[in-house]
Amino acid sequence: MSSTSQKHRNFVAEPMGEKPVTDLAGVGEVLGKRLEVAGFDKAYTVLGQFLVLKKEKELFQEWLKDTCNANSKQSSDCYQCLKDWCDEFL
Amino acid sequence: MNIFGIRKTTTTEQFRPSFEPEANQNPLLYNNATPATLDQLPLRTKDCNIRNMDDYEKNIIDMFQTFSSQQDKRFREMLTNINTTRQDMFQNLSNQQEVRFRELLTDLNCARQEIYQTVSIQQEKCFKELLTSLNSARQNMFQELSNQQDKRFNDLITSLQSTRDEVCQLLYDQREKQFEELLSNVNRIKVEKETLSNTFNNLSSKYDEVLLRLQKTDAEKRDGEENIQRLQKKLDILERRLSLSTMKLRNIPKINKYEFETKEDLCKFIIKLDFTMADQVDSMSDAELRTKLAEHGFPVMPITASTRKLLVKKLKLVLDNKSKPRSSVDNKVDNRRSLARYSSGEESDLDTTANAKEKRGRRATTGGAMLPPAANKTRRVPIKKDSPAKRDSDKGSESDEEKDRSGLSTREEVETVTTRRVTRTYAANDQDDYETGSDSDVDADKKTSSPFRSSSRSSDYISSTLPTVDVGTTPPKTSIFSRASIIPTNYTSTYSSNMTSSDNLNSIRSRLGLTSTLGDRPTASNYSTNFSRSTYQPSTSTIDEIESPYLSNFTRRLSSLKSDPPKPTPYIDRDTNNGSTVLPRRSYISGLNRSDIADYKTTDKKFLKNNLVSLALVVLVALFFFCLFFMYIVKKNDITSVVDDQNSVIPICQLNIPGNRPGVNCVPKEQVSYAKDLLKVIHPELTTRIASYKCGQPGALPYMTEREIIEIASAKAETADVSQCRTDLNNLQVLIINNPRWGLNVVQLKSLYTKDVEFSNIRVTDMIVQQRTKGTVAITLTDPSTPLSCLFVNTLYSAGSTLIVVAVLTILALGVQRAYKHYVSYKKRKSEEIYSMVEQIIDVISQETEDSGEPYISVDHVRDTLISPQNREKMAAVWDAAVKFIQRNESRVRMEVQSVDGEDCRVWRWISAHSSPKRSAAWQGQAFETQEGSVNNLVVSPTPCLKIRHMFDKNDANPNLRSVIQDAILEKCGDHCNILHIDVERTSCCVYVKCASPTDAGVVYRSLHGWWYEGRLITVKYLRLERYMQRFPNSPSVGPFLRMTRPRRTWD
Repeated sequence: MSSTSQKHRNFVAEPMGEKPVTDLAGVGEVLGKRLEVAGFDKAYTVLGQFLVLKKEKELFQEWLKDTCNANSKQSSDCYQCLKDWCDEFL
Repeated sequence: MNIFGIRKTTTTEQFRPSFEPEANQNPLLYNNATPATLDQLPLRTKDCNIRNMDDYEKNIIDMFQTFSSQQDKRFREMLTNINTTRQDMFQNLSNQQEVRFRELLTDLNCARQEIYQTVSIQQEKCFKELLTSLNSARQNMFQELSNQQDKRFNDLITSLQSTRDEVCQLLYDQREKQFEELLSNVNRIKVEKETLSNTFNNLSSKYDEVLLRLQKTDAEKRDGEENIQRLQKKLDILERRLSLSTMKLRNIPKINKYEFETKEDLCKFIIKLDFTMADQVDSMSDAELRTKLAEHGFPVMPITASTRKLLVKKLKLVLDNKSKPRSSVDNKVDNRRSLARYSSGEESDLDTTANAKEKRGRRATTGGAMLPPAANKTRRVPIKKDSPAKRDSDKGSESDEEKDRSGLSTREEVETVTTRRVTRTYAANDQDDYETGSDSDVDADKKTSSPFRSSSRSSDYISSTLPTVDVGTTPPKTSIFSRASIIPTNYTSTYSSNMTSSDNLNSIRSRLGLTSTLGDRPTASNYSTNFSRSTYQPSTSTIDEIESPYLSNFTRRLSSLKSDPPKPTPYIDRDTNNGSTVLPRRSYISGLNRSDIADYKTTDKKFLKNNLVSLALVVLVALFFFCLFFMYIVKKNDITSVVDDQNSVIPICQLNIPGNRPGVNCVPKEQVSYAKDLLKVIHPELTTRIASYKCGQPGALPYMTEREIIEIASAKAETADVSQCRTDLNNLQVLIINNPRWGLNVVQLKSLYTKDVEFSNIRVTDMIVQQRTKGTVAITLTDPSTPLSCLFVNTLYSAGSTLIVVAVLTILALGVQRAYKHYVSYKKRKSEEIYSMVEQIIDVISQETEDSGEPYISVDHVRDTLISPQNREKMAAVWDAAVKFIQRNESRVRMEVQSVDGEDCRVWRWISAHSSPKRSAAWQGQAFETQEGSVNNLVVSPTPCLKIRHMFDKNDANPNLRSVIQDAILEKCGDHCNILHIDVERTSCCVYVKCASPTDAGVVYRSLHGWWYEGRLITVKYLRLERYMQRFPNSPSVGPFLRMTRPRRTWD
């Protein structure tokens, strides 16, 4: 990806702490609602899933699509966001 | 000086004696005189009177005083004298001294100068003498040295010259000798070169011959390849036809020892199998799923509640994907297996002692293709042991020999072939299974032999494409094992001739049995062996069929193709004999060789590879059309060929027709060729003119007037016969009008003298005559072709302009889209503002009405509380919209006019005050009595464990359900109750509670039993401790009691 969104940069800039799931890049209000319904109310729960899926891009995107009906751009943004965060802080 | 010093001393000595006696003389005089007088006085007094005495004294004193003053005077005079004399003497003396001193000084200086002069003179003399002596000595020495050097140098030069002459002589001699040798060498080489060139010529002629031969063989080879391709195409078509009418029944996973008595049973079973296949993935356990995924190349990852769904989906997808690109080859694998069964059956007849062993091997081989590699490894061993024996029994020693020969050489290519095939075949497996399920009963009804034939055909194909390796020579790791198998066509013939319906079923069953072995069910293999044993006899092998396996893939294909058409008759013979012949061979592909991961990843590459031919075709077609277009563009309408065409209409003047006028509507026969020549002369000029006109050159005209034509013609013909040219031109015009297909037009110019190029065609010959007189007749081309460069430039211009237009349009469109987006976002923002404002308003209203007790609140007051004064003007529109929204869409707020403090103003009334807020997760009251003494109360609580029913719904998907329930229970029971463990079982809608003691459990029981919780009536039962521990073995028995996770709600 050549450039990243402001949201992405904000998220990657600091530890996620107790950030809500909507702070993830690619996850807006709608997706955030859906994810909350599915039990993923915080960003770290999504991170957990991301890690459980072993940072596999394909699987994680698939999961996101399944869970909250995300499109491929959103899922790819979210994946990139978590990936960068992990690279930074893990 | 000495002289002066001596003088001085002498003067002091002289002076001192002269002074001292005077000084000594005076005191002597004084002292001696006074006592003597005194001594004399008393004596006188005795003689004289006293009174005289005093006078005497007075006289004495006077005398004394005069005496002393005289003395002083004399002393002073003497002193002054002495001083003056002394000074004079000093003066004299110093003067004398100075004079003497000066004299001495001058004497000394003179003497000194004299001495200096003498000394310097002497020194100079000596120095000069020394210098002269030194110079002479030096010169002498120089002279001597130079003489010596010269001598030596001369000696050296003479010796050097002599040696140099000698060396030169030697070198020259040597060089001459070598040169002679070289010359001889060169001559020899020249001779050799000539011989070599001769041989080279011979060789090149031979090489040409060889080249010719090679070309011939190439051509032959190409012919052969074409033949091969044709045959391959035929083969493909045949295969496709066969596969269309195939009944495929294989690879069905699990089967018990069902007996299919009727067709219906079979159909039902097959349908059921379909469902099980579909549900198999869903119902897999986690471990199975994990292994399955690992088998398909996924990384092993934890299968949790959240990931499981995804992984299952993924696995399904992969299975589906794999089944799609699979071709019929996989069927062939399966069929091969089924055929292997028959062959093994016959082998078992031959070799009954090895029966058990063989069964095992068979199972292993058939299972091998489906099992993961790890499983396969363990099972491969028996196959290896098995296969040589089988082959021996089947084909005897001759096949062994041949295999040994072909063994290692063919092996590598074979492996490559197989791997590719296998990946494809493997992918097709599942889909085929489903197809067989749907097709099978139809085919069974038909009882035609075609499906079986097709399958056997395909198996034949596979066996031929997988030529195999000698077991003896290959290392034990080879993945392909081969053995002879029954000719499938033979199998079909038996089917067609004497197959009964029960046989048909039997065969199906056998296939099912086979597939069941694939699905890891060893027991089912009994079917196949029994069946094969019962139906098939030991085979007698025919020679040609044995030979076929050792041919290459391709020839094998050919041979199978060739052998197809004439087959029917031999089949019948065999049918009557009920004999089965041995088919080429069958190859096992062990799972070791196939790598699913590779398959998974190389699908893209395969796609390219598969579509290479079609892509190439498309490119070829495009090239062809491009060439066509290019030729069309380039093609020039050659005027001479057109003019000399026989089909052109030439009106010949005939004398017997009265209307004929030469040059007007007909041409004299002898002048036709002249006119044509004229045309040929002017045509190139005309084309260049039109080209330059088309290219937009200024001053160029797209036609030639008659005058210009005549000028050109006369210049070219070198005959200044203008009238001849004129008649030729007239004839030419007639010809042109009569032959529009020459591509020329006779035109009438609208205006002769302007540069306009307007003209109109003349179609009638009579018109020419009229126009000729005006001189406005011209000739032009009907469809002039533009030269390429001009065409290119023009196209570039037009393309540029269209590009600009398109760019402008796109920019416009983008602008419009941007504006629309902006507008939409603006609207959205506005509406969001309005909604937030509405929410704030409602909050304020409810708050204020609750706090103040008044049921209404002034609209303006709300506005003033919400919006700061500086924003009020700006937010007026939002505010109005929010007010309107509330008026229209808010049921809890009513707008009315009230007088507040004597002033009428609009107010909002909060009218939902009495509707109680929603109470969630709340205890709603008791349904029946549980206090002591009531029927529902147990006096002694028997166990510390409880089971609570109906606390939540089965559909409750709340992920935090457990904590919610825990909080609710703890809240209800209060602090005095010690609860160790609470857990929720969703399937049975039960909550299990473990307390610290039975009394605590009693408290819980009494406080929960018979209560309404969120509209559900709760019942509580005691549960035995061991049962509880059985269910929750990890539940704590001591330790911290559960406490509420959220602050306690006030509960009344």
